[in-house]
Amino acid sequence: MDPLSCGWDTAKYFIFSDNVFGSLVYYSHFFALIPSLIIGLLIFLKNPKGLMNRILFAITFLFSVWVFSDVVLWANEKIDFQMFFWSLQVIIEPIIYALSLYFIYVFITKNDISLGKKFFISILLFPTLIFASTKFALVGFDLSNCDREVTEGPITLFGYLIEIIYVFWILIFAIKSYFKAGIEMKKQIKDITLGIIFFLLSLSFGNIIGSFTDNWTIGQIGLFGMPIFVGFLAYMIVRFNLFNIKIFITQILVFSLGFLVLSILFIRHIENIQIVVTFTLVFIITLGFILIKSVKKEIEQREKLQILSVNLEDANEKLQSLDKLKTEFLSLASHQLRSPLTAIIGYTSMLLDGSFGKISDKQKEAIDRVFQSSRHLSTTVEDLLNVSKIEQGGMQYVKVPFDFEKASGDLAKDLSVTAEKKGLKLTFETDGKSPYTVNGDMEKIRQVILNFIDNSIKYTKEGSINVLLSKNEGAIRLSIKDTGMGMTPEIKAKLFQKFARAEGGKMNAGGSGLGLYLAKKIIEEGHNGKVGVDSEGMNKGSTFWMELQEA
Amino acid sequence: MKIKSKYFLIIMSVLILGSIFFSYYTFILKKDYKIFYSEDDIPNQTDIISIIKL
Repeated sequence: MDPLSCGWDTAKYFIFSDNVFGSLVYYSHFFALIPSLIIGLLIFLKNPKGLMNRILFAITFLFSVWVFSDVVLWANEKIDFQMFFWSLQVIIEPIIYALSLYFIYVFITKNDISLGKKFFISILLFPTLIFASTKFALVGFDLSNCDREVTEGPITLFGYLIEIIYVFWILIFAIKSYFKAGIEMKKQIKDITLGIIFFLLSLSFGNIIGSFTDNWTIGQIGLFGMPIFVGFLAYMIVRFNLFNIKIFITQILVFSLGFLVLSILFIRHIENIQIVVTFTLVFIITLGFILIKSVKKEIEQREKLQILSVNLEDANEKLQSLDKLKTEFLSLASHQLRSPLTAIIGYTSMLLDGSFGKISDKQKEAIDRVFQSSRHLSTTVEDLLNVSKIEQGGMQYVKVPFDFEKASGDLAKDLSVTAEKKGLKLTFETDGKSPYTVNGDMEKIRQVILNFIDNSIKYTKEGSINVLLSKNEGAIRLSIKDTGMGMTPEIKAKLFQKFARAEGGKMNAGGSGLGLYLAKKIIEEGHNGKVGVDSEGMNKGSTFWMELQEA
Repeated sequence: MKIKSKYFLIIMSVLILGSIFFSYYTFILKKDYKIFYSEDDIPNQTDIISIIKL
């Protein structure tokens, strides 16, 4: 038959002609092609190095080429174009299946597959790739009628066979993985597998039906599976936030809707208008339902967040005012306590000195207890005052260069009397690299040294305490090593926190639990230095140390 | 990406692009295809198998 006698329309721009059975071809194809290409591109651009993103982009790209080829086959009248685009589909179609299988593997395992498996998947493609342009794939062009059909050879039929193999491969792998997966993953596996299978079947549906029955009109219905797949992919992305492009997808869906309505205007013959309008309506209702549900959910979440935010703000304000009250109370109470305490300490000290006359030993013992307890209370009050000052940001440091060796040596000498009373030997040594000058608040640093040595005396039952001053690369380090009770790593980790005391509570060693907290604040925040403790464990002694920069 | 995987990807790409190119060369440039003007010219499945055997 002469092609001229068939009265085929000459296609404009490859694809626009009256040769198609109906305008549905343009409608179903372009609605699949454009959104899928945009979604694929967006997913790729979101993370060009992501393997899943790359595979999905490859699938959507090849799918778009396939859809374009299909439109050419429907519309173009030239025999050489028919042959080329038909062979292009024979090449591309199994690759889309292979990539879908690869995608399912990566999606479920979250890892790339081995090279061996890649080769095994690809080897099935080789016959179609090698023979696509030969008579084994496409025997020739059928001009015995005006249907513009290519006579397919065994390789093309083999292509359909491997597509079925890939579908079963996907199903078997997905089912196996489904039973091994957790609840959330099960949902994802089920949805993505169904989506992919539906997509693949709808992709080949038209061609397989056409090949075996020679009825290509029925095949058109299958093409509507493609836009459904694109919508399904978009739904998956929104539901599981697969590629982190939720907002883009919503935009794409709205864009697709606009495109869908717009495309009606360009349909050359409106004989299928009922199908087109029904399809558009179903899409609008579905998309509208999804969007309304999504917006409703977002609004509910936002309202909840707003209420939570207001509650949180109130709670924060209350906490701040309570914290301020606490600090003020601490400060006020400490001040109020300090004055009477000073009087008690002063008068008991004078009583012990005999300023008010001679007292009996029994009276002296009782007054000494009052004196010692008052001093202890005074130290606690002083610590509390310092903590409230630090927390209010009101701690003032009067920094001047001073001789650290003298300050620490004098303190060690003073406290050696207390140590000796307990049967302990307290020594002071340096590494001989004097001078040890530091720039800091001498009184507060002395308080820290005093606290460290005092702690060592308190927590050491027998043995010795060695105070060592050393210098290394501009840092002056004072370490107080004792043979006391030591500590576990757990205690060590909490030791410099507020109200923390080693096993002191058990030993009844006294102390407010604020000394080391204050030491850390004074040295680290006030002087940019460091404090710490080393201990090999319980009953193995400990070494408290502080480091300050040399002036 | 591992080097072996990279080579594999290159080989597959060459194979696919090569196949598309040959198809383009055969059908569009050389116009090397048969046209069956009558249904009798179209080989049936048995003939197709004989083509393979040849």
